Amino acid sequence: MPVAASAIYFLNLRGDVLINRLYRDDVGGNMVDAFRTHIMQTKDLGTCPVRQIGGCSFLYMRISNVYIVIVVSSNANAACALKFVVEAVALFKSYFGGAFDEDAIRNNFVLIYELLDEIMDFGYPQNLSPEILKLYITQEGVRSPFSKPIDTRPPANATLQVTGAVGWRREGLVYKKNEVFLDIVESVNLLMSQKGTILRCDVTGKILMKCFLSGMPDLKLGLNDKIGLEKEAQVKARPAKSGKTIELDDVTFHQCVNLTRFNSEKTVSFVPPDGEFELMKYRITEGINLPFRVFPSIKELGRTRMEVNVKVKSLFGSKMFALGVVVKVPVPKQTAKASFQVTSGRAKYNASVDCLLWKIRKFPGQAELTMSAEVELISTMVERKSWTRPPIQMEFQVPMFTASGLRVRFLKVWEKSGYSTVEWVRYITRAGSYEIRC
Amino acid sequence: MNADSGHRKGEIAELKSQLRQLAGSRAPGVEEVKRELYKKVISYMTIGIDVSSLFSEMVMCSATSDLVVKKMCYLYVGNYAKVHPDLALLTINFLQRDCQDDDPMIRGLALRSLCSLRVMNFVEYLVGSLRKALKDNNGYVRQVAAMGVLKLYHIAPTACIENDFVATLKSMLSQDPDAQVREWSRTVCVRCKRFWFWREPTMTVQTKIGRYYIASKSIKDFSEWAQCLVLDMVSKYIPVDPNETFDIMNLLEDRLQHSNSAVVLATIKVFLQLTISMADVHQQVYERIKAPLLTLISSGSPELSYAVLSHLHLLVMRAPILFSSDYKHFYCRYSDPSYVKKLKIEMLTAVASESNMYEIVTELSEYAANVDVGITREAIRAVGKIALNLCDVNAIVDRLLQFLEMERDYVTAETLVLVKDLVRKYPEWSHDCIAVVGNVSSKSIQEPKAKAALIWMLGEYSHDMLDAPYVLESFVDNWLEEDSPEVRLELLTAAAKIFFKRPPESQKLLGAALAAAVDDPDQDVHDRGLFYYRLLQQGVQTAESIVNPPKKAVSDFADIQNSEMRDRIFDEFNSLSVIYREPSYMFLDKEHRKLYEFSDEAAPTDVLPTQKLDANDNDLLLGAFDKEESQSGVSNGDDGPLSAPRSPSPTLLGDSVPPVSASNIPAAFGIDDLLGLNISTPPPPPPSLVLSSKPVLDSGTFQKKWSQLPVALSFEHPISAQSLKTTQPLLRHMQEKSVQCMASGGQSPTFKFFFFAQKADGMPGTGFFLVECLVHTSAGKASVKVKSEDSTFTAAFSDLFKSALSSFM
Repeated sequence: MPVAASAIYFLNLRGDVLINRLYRDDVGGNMVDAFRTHIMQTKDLGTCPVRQIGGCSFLYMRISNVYIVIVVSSNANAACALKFVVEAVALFKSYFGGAFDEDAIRNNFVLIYELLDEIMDFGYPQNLSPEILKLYITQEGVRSPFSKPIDTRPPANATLQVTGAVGWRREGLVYKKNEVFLDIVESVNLLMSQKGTILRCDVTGKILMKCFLSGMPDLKLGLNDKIGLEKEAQVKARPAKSGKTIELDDVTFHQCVNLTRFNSEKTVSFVPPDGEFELMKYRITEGINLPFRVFPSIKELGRTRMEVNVKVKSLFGSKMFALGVVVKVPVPKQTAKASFQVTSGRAKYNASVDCLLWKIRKFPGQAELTMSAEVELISTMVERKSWTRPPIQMEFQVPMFTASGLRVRFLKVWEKSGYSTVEWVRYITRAGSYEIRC
Repeated sequence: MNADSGHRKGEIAELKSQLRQLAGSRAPGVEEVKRELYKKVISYMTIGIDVSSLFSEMVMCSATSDLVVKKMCYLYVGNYAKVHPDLALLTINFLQRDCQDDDPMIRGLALRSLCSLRVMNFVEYLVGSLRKALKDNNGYVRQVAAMGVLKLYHIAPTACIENDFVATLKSMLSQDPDAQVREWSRTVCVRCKRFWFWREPTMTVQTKIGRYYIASKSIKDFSEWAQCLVLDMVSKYIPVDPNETFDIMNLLEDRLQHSNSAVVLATIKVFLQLTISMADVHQQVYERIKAPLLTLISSGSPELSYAVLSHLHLLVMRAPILFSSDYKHFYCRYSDPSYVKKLKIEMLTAVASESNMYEIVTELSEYAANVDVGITREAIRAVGKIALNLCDVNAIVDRLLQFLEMERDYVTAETLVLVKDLVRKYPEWSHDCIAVVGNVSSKSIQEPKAKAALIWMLGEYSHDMLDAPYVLESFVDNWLEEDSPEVRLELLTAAAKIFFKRPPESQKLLGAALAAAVDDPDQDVHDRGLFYYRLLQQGVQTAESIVNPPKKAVSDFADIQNSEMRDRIFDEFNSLSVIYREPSYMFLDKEHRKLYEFSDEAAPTDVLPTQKLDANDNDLLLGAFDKEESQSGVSNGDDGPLSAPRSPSPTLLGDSVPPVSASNIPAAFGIDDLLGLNISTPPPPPPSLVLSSKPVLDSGTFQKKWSQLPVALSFEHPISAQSLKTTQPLLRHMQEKSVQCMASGGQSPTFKFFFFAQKADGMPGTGFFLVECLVHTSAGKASVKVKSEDSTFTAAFSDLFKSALSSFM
């Protein structure tokens, strides 16, 4: 069963309708009231993103201060519907310049209606790619792709884009300087027990590209992943080079990547879209280099005092450094004040999140920094019991470091005109959910 | 409120006059003013103010070259056309005119709005424009037109057929000069597929294969959303042989690497459905789809993870071993929303096995300390579930008992319920458990379930707990404050049990409990009180053998969801049913839902006979009671504590002894009488069935009915069909027997038919029988599934059908 959305609503947190678009007649107009009274005004709001009232199902998502609600009356494909909302939000964001909230919607409601008209017809998702939609729906108003003089944009080509088949690139692009930017962005997810054993650790990475290339270039990307290297060794009949190889647990690609070729030759080859896009995503669970280890010790001294000692050790190379490191140490709600001693950075008690925040702007590699704090509590017996010691959380960014060890071996660009290109490759590792129990 | 609406009215009136002024104006700058006005109207419409009174002005002003204004107007018209069909007629003209515009964009947009009006009496206007648009020289327009055909189909299927739109689309599918339109019309065909499939009974399996094959081979040309639809269709296809299955799977394997999670899930569905009858390949499929699924749960929004986890849960229930090494993926993150956490905990429970049990229970214990009470409960329940499912509970028991020491009320409550189940299954652990349970302060437990569990354990293991009688006593003292009948029932039983084990200490306790029970307002408690009382009169031994017989350990607790249900959900993989964990008919079917509502309404009237029966029952019992009492007089030494219940009985006797019991009619006769009351008339003989010779049922309705009705009957029947080469002979034969064919296909040696028939005297549109019939010519056998709208005639119909099959050739 396809999505077959009967209606889409955008609501603010009060439940006022910001946008409503009916696609089918099979749900009544009062559906939004049902959502308000049975979901928004009850405690169930956050308990489940898919709910059923009467004969209708509501699939909803909160994005900043807006709810997007899809109403279906059939046994719809829930995953597809939710994915559609995610994609639609990405599209709106790209139109509004990054912000998607109540104000942005109120200021752009005509545009949103236009987009909703294009991205979904009769409840079926249509082309959602911003590159194509921006060709004929713009902030200023609609411009018909067909109204242009024929020599600048032949109608056949325009049809091709509007109907969204070769969704990702148009012909006839010219750049003075041909450049490719490639970013490998990894987020490390860690869950460590009190005793320092790793309960769970994985890396989700993505390769982001920004292409400013003329014509219809063909790109080929080589990584140091295990399967790709082995395949190459097979083809060239020489042993794989020694050095670290990475085993990717799972990979997904942007639609421009030729998946057949990936499966047969294990190389990532593609005709890139113009501008910025996400080339691939991957997941790795084996052989991860943790950028940081945390050694916490939290002692409760009597009823009103706590002693917090946190030692953080950076494990990446000494020439590298981490930026924007934040260590969040949770403390009970009834914390009165805290005094700190840190070897580097700044620490303070933030009552709004019930945490000690320790910020280190620049954290060198192979270093060990500590924070010790004395926390004073207001003595209340009852409250005390409900404190359950949430995990310590960390935020950081480590440029030029990949927790998985993934490296770009080559990035080749072919175009029939044979121009030369400049390639830029960057690596960065970020904290995903980096949690240490204490 | 009034002032406000008055104010609004004023505003709308102003808008109206402004629009009217603009209508004919060609002054410079008028477009901008129009745009602003339209914006205002649309924003009013959005917040729910009725601006339909502006309809004619809006339409008048819409003659403009500004696309934005046009679009807003289309939106407006689309919104109000349904409510004001008379007004909408005005727009038809202007939309039709726009359908002839020079700009293809406008042609397309106008056509889309025209098709979206969805008003029955517009169909005639629509058809002309659609026909023209399907032959438009611009791809965009043709694409919109293809979509329009589908919309038309939904409001007026006959119009679609009469105008040969389906055929036109079909030819577009293969001949359209624009590759994209080909893709599009194919997509629409795919969306129309059900109508196609049912409409063409002559269509052979061969062409179907062709279609599916084309679809899967060229799947890369489709947009990602269209791919989902194609994949969904492929998943319904049954390949002729394993080779074909593998071909399709090879073609589609790279879809698992697609970045769109919807495509990945749709592909997974195809793989699972294609291999469902090939056990070992099915297992391999599970291995293959594991990695992509695990990726999906950790990437993207929590809502998506939720959807994916629901699907994983279904898969895990089918193959728990498979994910048992991947359990770490289901560890909760601190920041996960509770609905994701809840599902992850369920996953951990489902994948727990001997090998990973220790880690999982350790992790779950961490969650038990969570701030979120709901999650804590789920975690504790999960630990208990694992303990009940696995044999090696050594480590788990300690964990559970630790929970009791956390001294948080809801943790204790949840744990007590589990400990109760645990000792029922593993009596050998009872000693350890009871030692800890004995320390639990009964005051801290408020929840009825937990209270009942504690009381049960007190009664059951009173020999291990010294102070059991006194704890129970305090409960009995507070009998009147106890709201839950469940707890009171449990308390009564516990009092009886403890009396059998430690009579001297608990005689008083039992007496008090019985007295309180007999006075209890709850029928069940009252009845059980009397029952125990009478049992005890028969002698303590007898009573004990009934109230507290030696128990066997429970080996398996009943599974809530049966496997058949799960299979049905599995058939609907990648849909809401997986998330709701019930087959779609449970939550979609109007009839089904109505049935529920109906039975709710009917409940009060239903109650009457049962109440009557209860009352009768009571009288009878009391009659017996009375007799016994008069015969045996005052019984034995139990008299002291048991005297309490007698006090209410005389009044009861005096008031309500009916003549029946007074005249001492033997109880057995009374029961016979009761039974007689219940089935006063023997079931009517199966009514004879006459089938309508010309049943009318269109394919859409057939499909709907087919998916809604449960299989009423399925059987195999011999058929002499060795020489059957095409479906036609059998078709004709069945037609003679008033059984019509909806669709058929297949090749020797297997054919598949969908038949339907209708009761002759039935109302039009009711009394249908739907049949799926698989004929294996070589085996000379037909497997038949019958679905029926009128269950009283199912048997009669199947007899008819069988005889029809037997008489073939």
